Amino acid sequence: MKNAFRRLALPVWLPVGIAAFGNVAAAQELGERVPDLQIAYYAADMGPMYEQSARVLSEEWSKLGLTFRMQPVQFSTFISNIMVGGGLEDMAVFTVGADPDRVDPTYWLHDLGACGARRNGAKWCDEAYSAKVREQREMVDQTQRIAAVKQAQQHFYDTMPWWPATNTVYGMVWNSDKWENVTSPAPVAAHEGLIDPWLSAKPKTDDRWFDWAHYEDVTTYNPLAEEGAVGWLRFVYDTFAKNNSKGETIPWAAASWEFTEPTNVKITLRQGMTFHDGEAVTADDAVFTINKVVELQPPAMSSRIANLAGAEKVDDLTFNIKLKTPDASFVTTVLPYAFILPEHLWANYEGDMVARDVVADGVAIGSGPFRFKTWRINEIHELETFKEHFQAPGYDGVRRLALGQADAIRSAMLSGTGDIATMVLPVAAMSDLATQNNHLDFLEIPSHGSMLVWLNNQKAPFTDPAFRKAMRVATSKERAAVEGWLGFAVPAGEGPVPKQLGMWYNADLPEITFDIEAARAALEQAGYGWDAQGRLHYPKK
Amino acid sequence: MRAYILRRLAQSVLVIWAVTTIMFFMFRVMPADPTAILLERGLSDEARNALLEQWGLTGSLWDQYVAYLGNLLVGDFGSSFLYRKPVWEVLTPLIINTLWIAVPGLLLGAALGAAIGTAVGWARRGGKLERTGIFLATVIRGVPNFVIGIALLTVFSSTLGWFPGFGMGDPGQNVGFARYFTLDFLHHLALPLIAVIIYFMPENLLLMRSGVVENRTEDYIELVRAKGVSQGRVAWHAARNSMLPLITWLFPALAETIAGIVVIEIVFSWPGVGRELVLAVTRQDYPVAQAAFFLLAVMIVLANLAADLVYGKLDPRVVYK
Repeated sequence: MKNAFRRLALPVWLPVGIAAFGNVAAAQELGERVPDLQIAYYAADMGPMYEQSARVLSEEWSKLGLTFRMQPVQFSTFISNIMVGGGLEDMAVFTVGADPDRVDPTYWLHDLGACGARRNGAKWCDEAYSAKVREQREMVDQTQRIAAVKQAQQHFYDTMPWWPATNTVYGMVWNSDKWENVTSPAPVAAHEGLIDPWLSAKPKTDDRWFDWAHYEDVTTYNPLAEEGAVGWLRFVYDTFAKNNSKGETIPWAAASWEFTEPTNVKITLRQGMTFHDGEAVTADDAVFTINKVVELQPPAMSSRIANLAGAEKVDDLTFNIKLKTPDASFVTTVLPYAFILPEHLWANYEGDMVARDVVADGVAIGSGPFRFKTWRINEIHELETFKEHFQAPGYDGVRRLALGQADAIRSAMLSGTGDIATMVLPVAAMSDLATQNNHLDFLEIPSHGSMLVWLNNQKAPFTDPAFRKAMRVATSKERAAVEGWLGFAVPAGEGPVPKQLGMWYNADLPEITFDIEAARAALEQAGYGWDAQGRLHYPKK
Repeated sequence: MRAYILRRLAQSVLVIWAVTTIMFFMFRVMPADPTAILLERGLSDEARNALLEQWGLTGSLWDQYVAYLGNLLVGDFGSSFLYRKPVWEVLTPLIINTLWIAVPGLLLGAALGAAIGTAVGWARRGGKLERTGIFLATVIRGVPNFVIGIALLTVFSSTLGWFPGFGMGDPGQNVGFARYFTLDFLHHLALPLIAVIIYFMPENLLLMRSGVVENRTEDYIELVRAKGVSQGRVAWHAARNSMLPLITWLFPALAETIAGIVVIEIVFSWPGVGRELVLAVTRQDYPVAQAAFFLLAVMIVLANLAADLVYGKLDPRVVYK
């Protein structure tokens, strides 16, 4: 009883004590009270981790004398109104995914932070910083670019307009009785990978079809219309390059590339490639595809193709891609994304190419390691191995089972119908499944997906750098990772670029340790103070 | 009679129009943006506007509404935002999948419900059979259908392993129409079908029981009995005359069952129109969601109309005015 009283008494009296004996003496010199702050976060339909993270973070921040209003926001509303629409009221705690093109630092530095950038929802604008992040993008020399990227991170760190709290850990669980060599696609999630784990996997039994127990359907096999299934379509349509887990961009359909001018990239295709119908893949196909994409401007591809001016053939295997402006990120963001359509099947099509039903027309044909076989809506997709591919997998094909709900996926994995499940189950659930069942193995996939803490940089108190820095010091990344994400996230590094991006990350940025007392001291030094109830007040004007 | 039919048809059209209108505006005023996923990936303003125009989401709400109604009148539900195909092409195979569990489920549920209802109604009043029958029917009727589905999955799929727990067939099996006549399909069909039967049976059982209880004391039953036929034959006479409310109830029940099947399809991962409807709403695929709701509304209205008309045919005492 006595112990219980002690346990209760400490958390209740500590803040009161601090408030009463710390700064109350100066209460008459305080400015207005810092108003209640709203924290927007993804609503529970995206998973419980967002609310949980927002709550544990706000619990610590409230020790600075702040009060918060929690505001769950549905994903699409968050994106339209807050990320893009400029509707951030005070703060947001949310994640951005580990998209493959985000292995380039431009997304983190420019797209989320430069003046006027469309996704700069934190509304921070620093012209000097913006100039730096635009310049780095144009530096074709990688050593020079890395230095510029690190400089920009230092600038961002010094100003602290927002910060990452955690990096997401994805996972996959697979049937290890039937499959081996199921490798990690880090830093991207398994559904965005190709070489890992899909092409590397090897069957251990006579069942040579790799069954992927997944949540949802793929909605199209027309790459011009793709929205959410970029990874799956790249099974069928080859891209020019691939990003590997070391952060390098390696040749794929392109044997090599070089910047002959800052706005001209010369690409040589791999020899001997064919489409699934047996026709050779040539520079004509690549040039046709790129020029068609530039002409049609498919909405789903708009962000990635915005800087493409066109392409022209040099010889049967060589062609040039023209850029509108110099763009070093082209190699890491466009080459692993841009696909090759067979000109002989598309050139004479007179309808709207973006809306073309390629399955009905029998032209779901690319040159990728898998060939389209079957699609039954909301049920199953079957791709068979294209044995002539230069890196054909060592099994007969891959099936994607669209099961629609987590219990069915779990059931498929337990019954052996499913061979692999990826991010469609909570990572903790996948880990538990593997622990409880001998035939299942689990692999963590550390990613560059990040949970960010955004502040409205155009509104007090966030216009004050001292306040922002105090909030940063009072951010418990550890609690967010452990309690918000049940351990399936790791505390993020410093600065906007995720530490998982290796060479792009500025490891020299000093680590900021979570320390409430230091945060309070910083606020006090900046003139803030607390009233008798422990509530934070602005400095007196 | 003709005047009655015309009046009921006009009422039906009005109801369908009202539902369509509510659905249209509901999806437009919802704070959801079908381009959000692309915006998060950097969709430009121009590209977004082009997309919205292509999807018919630009201009005033009134203009969009008029265009939507115009298309609807010629049977054009538009194109799915996600699949980029006409909505009909997306929904047709899914409707067929749904009918595979809805129609047999409804008919078997009705037949079993009627048979058990007759037995319960014919049993001794206050006896064990009657009390058990009514108790079970009432309990099952009160249980949400997803609970029935999950219970079946737990027992027959997860624990006993007798039936598959999801989908319409094992991977790599037959495709095309022939698949519907394979053992693999029937094996997958069993659990969702049983769930629909169980969900649907109690209503029939109780209706039938009430009818039999009412009829068993009628004079004509005494007459049949006096002829010296078996108890079964006597019960059959009572049952036949108790079927009228059950038959008329089958029509709205079909529509109701299809609406209730949404949950069954989700629990069993059955690729039907109900599951697609839920996915379409969560993915903001308005044309598919609106079309699915529209079809449900039309079915319910037509079923009610059919029930009204059939009732008159079956029961000569009913007079249409």
